Amino acid sequence: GTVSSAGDVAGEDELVKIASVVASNTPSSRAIREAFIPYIEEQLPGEYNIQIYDSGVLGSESASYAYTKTGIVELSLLGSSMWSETPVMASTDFPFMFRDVEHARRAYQGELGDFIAEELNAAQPVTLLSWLPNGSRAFSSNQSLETIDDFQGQRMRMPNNPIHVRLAEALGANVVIMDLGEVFTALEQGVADGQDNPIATLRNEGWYEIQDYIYNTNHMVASLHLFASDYFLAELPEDHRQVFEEAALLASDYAWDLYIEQLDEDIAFVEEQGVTVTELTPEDRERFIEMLQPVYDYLDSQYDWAEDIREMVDNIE
Amino acid sequence: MTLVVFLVSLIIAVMIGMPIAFSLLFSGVAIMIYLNGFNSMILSMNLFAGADSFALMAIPFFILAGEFMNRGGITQRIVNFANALVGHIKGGLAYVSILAILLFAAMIGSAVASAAALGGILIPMMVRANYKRDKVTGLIAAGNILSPIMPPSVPLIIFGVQAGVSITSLFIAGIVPAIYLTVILCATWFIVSRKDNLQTNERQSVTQVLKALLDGLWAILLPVFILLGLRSGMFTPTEAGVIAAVYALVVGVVVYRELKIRDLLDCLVTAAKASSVIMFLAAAATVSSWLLTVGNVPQIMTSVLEPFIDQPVILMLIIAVLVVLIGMALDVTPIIMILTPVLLPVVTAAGIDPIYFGVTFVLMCMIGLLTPPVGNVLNVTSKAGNISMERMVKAVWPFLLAEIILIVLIILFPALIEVPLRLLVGN
Amino acid sequence: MQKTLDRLFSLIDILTGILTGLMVAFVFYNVVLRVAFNSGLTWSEELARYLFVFVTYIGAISAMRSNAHIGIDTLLARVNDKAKLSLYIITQLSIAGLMFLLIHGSIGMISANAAQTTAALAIPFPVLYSVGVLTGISITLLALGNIVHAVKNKENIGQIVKISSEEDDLVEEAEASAKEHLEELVKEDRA
Ligand code: NA
Ligand code: NA
Repeated sequence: GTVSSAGDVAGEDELVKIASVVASNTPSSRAIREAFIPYIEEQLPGEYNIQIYDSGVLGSESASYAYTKTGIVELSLLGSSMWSETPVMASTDFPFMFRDVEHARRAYQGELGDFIAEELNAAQPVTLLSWLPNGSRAFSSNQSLETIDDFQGQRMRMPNNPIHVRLAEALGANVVIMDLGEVFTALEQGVADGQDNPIATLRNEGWYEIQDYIYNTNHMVASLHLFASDYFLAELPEDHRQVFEEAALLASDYAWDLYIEQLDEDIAFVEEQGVTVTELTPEDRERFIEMLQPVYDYLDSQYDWAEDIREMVDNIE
Repeated sequence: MTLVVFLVSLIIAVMIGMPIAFSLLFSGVAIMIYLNGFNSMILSMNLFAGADSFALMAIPFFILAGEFMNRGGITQRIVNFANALVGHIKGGLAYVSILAILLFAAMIGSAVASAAALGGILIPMMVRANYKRDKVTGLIAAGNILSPIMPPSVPLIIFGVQAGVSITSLFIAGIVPAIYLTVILCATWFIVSRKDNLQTNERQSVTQVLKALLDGLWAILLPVFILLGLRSGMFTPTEAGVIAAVYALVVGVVVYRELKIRDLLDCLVTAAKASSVIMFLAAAATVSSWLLTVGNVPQIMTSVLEPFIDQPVILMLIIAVLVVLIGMALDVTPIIMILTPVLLPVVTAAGIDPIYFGVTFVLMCMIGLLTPPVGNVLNVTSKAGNISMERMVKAVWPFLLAEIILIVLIILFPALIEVPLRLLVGN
Repeated sequence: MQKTLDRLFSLIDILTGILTGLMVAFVFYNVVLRVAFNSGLTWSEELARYLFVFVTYIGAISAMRSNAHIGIDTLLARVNDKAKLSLYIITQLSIAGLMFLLIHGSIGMISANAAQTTAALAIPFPVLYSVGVLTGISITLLALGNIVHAVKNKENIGQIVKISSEEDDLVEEAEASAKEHLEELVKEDRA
């Protein structure tokens, strides 16, 4: 195994803790380490001792969010676990909301991101500083999976989440629900033919060895959010606060660049391993959206703003 | 350095007589000040989060189940059941005792509770049959650490929560070392008692045996049912605890009719008191363990132990020595709470299976219950056996040695746990 | 005064016992619903969890009163009475200081979450977090009371600093049950 070098945390400067729920080698955690922290240290030398804690070691997503709200961690990099308190956050999990990863990036860094941040900042003692990438989902299978018709009758492993399950059902697949940890065995033993996850997961978990097809649907492009506690921000001098905000935007760009670069690398890697990767055509995307009408009906019944938000994102260039 | 600040402040606080729970809060504050990040909410928030856990709720439930069993007459029937099975073998009462402890262990989760409940029954039984008092007291003391290895287990619950590992898997894995422990205790007893002239129980009549078996059946069904339920994923460990408590209550009141309704509140209060002491300690340990993480101690520990990452056996032996040394002075709960997040990254990096690590680590912690100066099981058993602490320490050593050898074997050959476990779990 | 306090604390113990009984009831009810009817209640799990927090905190107050928090008195038993008294006062003052931080932190949590409620039952978080304030104040008072008691009863300091652990109860239990069983067996022998 590899070990990251680690030193003593203590120092003269004020300790600023960043709780990250993703691993240290992900583009977003790397962006904090390689762009966010260096920028602040360069602009405000000797003021802050910024430490990032990866992989959720300071607490689960919801615990880290609670810690950010009280200010015992100053910043956090989290997924979307705070839905119950801020329902609009659920929109980031709507299927085929984005045309592709670049479109998702523009939406999160633009109008969609601003819209959600505004709701959240008003309701919670936190400030959403910027949006970073988490993972874009693609389907994979050991059966032929090159067009939308191929889903018919395939056994697809889905996470235990109503939107995901309804999505696979609407495509005509038979849904198998199980924990992420069991996926490899299930695919190997044929309990499931396929699954949907970011291609990076497929690569890291070695699933490409037992999967022959990837349909790069990008049907959900999940994000991470860099939050700051309002208690922490309130104590910052105005010019320092500005530096933190600039650093956050810088980290966002850095992470998306890194993510897209890595995505291309991951695709090249699995293709080298003999996996057939099919990109989604605009026509097929239209057909997906038609077939997923039951899912959109379900979302509309759950959230009265669901349709507006889809339209807003669709209008983003 | 954070680790040094933590250890020094903790040791000073404990030595001047501050209860361990408050000492852990104290060392948490020391770390905060050292890291230049003082915030009173770090203390209050982590203390609350440490207690706010559905998984840890299994602790009061299993303690309560144990209370109901003791007062409901289940304990004595387990002894009778074991007696009916193996009482006729030469030196059989000792095997009866080991079997009874194992069966009891399958129902309760704490070694100290087991020592208190069984020591008072088993030791007099053997002393009266002219077994050597010191030998049997040593055997019973060492035997009681079966309790937290055989599921259910309070230490395994605490480890599971701290490590983020399935408690159900840990419970199922615990069965394997529990069986080894039973075997080596029997073997050790066979060796130490081979020159003693021990009387053999007269064989009971078939009807007597059947009656004892039938009578004990209600008690034996509980662990079987719980293990099957956990294994099939029908319920979580916390739910298993609640089922055990309700079952023990019903059997005690309706079947054995020894548990009176007015005992109910007594049992509840005892369980609430015992669990809140453990839980407050665990919650206080959450505060300092969180701050050790903030101070990067797990990563620093990982880099210190990095030379051994390619030699998991040596790494485990180092951890064993460390845990046994700390276990001489510190209680099991804080050891698990503090060391789990500190050790887990390096253990994972070394490719050691966390389930295997969990049961082996808890086994190491159990040794501390049998070593002076702070050895709670020794303390309780010496009183039940009516011998001094000095004699107790001498009496336990052959059995303690056997248990340490078992731990070393499990470390040298992880397959000892992993192979049978694969058979139990099925893949 | 002492008697009133004794009675108060035995009521507190009964309260924690009843709360534990409610935890059992809620979780058991949920298991039955799930296993038998394949439906669960999120509120019963949530309620049981917060009862558990309350039992832990309130039980900690009661344990402070009966000096039942686990500790080590090996060193304390070996120093002279004067040192015992000073160390005891230092310990109790430190506990009071730590509890002041608990109170301060809990008030901070209450104001940071003033408008927040729990997911299932919509219990306001300030209600839950106030248990920290309650526990902090109670243990602080007990610690200060301990100091007054120790200063007034200097001659008994050896007894006062002794930690009465849960093990002591269990030790007594074990001893008593051993005696009882031996007597029974002796009776059987005579018969
Ligand atoms: Na057990
Ligand atoms: Na010990």
